[in-house]
Amino acid sequence: MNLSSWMREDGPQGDIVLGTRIRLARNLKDLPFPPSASREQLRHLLDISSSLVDDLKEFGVFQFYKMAEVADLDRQLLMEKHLVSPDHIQNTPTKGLLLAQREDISIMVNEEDHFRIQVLFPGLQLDAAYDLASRIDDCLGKKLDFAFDQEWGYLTACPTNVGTGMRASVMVHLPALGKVNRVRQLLGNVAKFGLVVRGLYGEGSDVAGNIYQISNQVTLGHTEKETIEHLLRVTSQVISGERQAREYLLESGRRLAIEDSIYRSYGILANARIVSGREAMELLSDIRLGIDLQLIKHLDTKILKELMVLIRPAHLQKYMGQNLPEGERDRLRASLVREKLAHK
Amino acid sequence: MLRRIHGSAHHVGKVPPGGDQKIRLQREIESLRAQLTQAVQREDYEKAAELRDAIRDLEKQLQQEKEGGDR
Repeated sequence: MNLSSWMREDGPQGDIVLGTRIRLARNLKDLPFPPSASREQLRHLLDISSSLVDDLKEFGVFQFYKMAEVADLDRQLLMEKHLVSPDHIQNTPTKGLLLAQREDISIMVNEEDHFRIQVLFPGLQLDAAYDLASRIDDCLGKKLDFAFDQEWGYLTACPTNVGTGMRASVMVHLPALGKVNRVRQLLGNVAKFGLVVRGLYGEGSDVAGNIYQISNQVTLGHTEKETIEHLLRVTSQVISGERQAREYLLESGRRLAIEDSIYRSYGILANARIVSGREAMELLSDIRLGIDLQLIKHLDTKILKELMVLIRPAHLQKYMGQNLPEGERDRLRASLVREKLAHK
Repeated sequence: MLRRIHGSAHHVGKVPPGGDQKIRLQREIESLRAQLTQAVQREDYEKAAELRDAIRDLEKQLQQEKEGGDR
């Protein structure tokens, strides 16, 4: 099964920052926002969007999909890979997707806004990801007339996005802060800086495996550069907090205890016959910490990023080539993880 | 409401390609119009005529920009 480039590759500060995402919301001037547009109007936009594949050539090989024509399981795969939002796989008749082959760029059509341009990079690469997203925006803006107001900036369906229309996020893995019970405190501080902390799958999703997404909330009154610099400053604080916690765990009095807990997690995953998604994430988080601390030397760091997607329900079913009842899933998840741990 | 969400109500970020040209022209025209009003008040009709022609030129450019953008 193919994984997106950001999951296969490693990036700057990759031991803590799993990935960076930039999203730009854009709307056409002459069309009502998707929530209030008619079906015909939205279908018309789908037709326009399918022709954009050519315009986007310089950024990669793109394919256009009508979401209604994508099989149910494949839609869920796209969602599990963060290429579309959970909303985008519901009420699909008017929804579309422009997807780059490397899966580093995805453009949702007729989500809450007419276009949601997304760039996903491995590691901490806010500037590079924004630069690419902005160039894609320029490319589309040459062909389409976007709704823009001098005072309000880019107009969006929801007032929380108006202005830059940009949401910049970093996905961070904070296992050591979790172990020293400091994660809540640190992330509470992040909120004071006007940033939002969420679980792995965005709004309303649970935190699993010590993975968090930190993103900006404000889109009006600051330039894109300022917003990114602010997020970068706060993320750097979080990174150094996690590094300190990792050093603390390795101090002589504690080293044996942390080594023990990591190897226990490893022992369970290497031998379990039934494992839920949540339990697998918690244990994989431990194993990844063990690799980062060089306590476990025979496994690759990529194991967490790969498996955190591969053990999700739709990926498991795709992997096994069949629909699976939940109990079966837990059994196959355990065997998939055992297999991966044995191979690397 | 926007001020409450964002703490500000004025966009300072990116402007669309082509859009910046339009906005620049619009802002220039506004400023010339203000100068024109002052010139008329001073009864400096020579200056006023100059400004009037400059505004006409810019408005023509702006019109072209707008048509260019409506592809």
